[in-house]
Amino acid sequence: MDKSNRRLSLGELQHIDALISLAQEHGIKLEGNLKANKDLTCCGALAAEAKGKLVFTARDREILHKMAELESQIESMPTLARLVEIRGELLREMKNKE
Amino acid sequence: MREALTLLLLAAIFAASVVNQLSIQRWAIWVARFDPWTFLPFWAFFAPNPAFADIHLVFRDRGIASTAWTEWTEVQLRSSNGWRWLWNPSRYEHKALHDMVNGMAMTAEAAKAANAPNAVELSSCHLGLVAWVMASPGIHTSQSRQFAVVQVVGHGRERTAHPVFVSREYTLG
Repeated sequence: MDKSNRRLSLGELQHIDALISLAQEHGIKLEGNLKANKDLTCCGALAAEAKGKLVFTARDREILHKMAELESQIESMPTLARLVEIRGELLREMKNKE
Repeated sequence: MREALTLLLLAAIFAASVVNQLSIQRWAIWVARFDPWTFLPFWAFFAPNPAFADIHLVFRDRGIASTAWTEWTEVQLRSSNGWRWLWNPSRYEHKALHDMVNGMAMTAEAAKAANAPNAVELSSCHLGLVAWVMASPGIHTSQSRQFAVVQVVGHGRERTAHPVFVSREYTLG
């Protein structure tokens, strides 16, 4: 039986390439299509969020705002090490605020 | 006395665990304040909507002084075989991928609600995906890499694949 979790075929990869190129040509960001499968796990944050039990505090929102601010300052082609460094700075700053 | 206290404590944990299964917003907010490590159990077995899509991770490279991208390549995950009921280490990779993509999606939704869009890149789940993609073997002359998250729905002829996230370009190394 053909399973949906089998590897992507060459045709599917080309189809994906075409969709991404088309989206980029029209300036469409695909991030909006990212939806969490909230009931995938039996426990933890995902299931809690699905049941409306995940509560974002004012501090969480502050961290998200800070993350957005820092992201806008990231240079065009960062390395992974640079991203980790920026996240480290963010966490240190938030800890010092406590 | 000690036995009575232990029984009382266990009874309190049991009662709190039962209440924790109910969708009471005020209780959830109160518990979140005092139970940040989610000590109290909470079960939600595949309800109300079970997972309907598979997640695949693809990347493409760009060489030194080159404007052309390579073809998209899928990040290799271990495949399971007929013995997966007994020995199935590949499930850790598949579960990790699903959890990281879901975590990224949840961060994106929370950021949107907090009026702080584009706050995904520094999230731990996104960093995990970047690390995973960057560690995948590619062409030795590659200088930079971009990845995409692909959602696959359906089986056989009904199977469709579409990208749901495209990263920025990252410098390798």
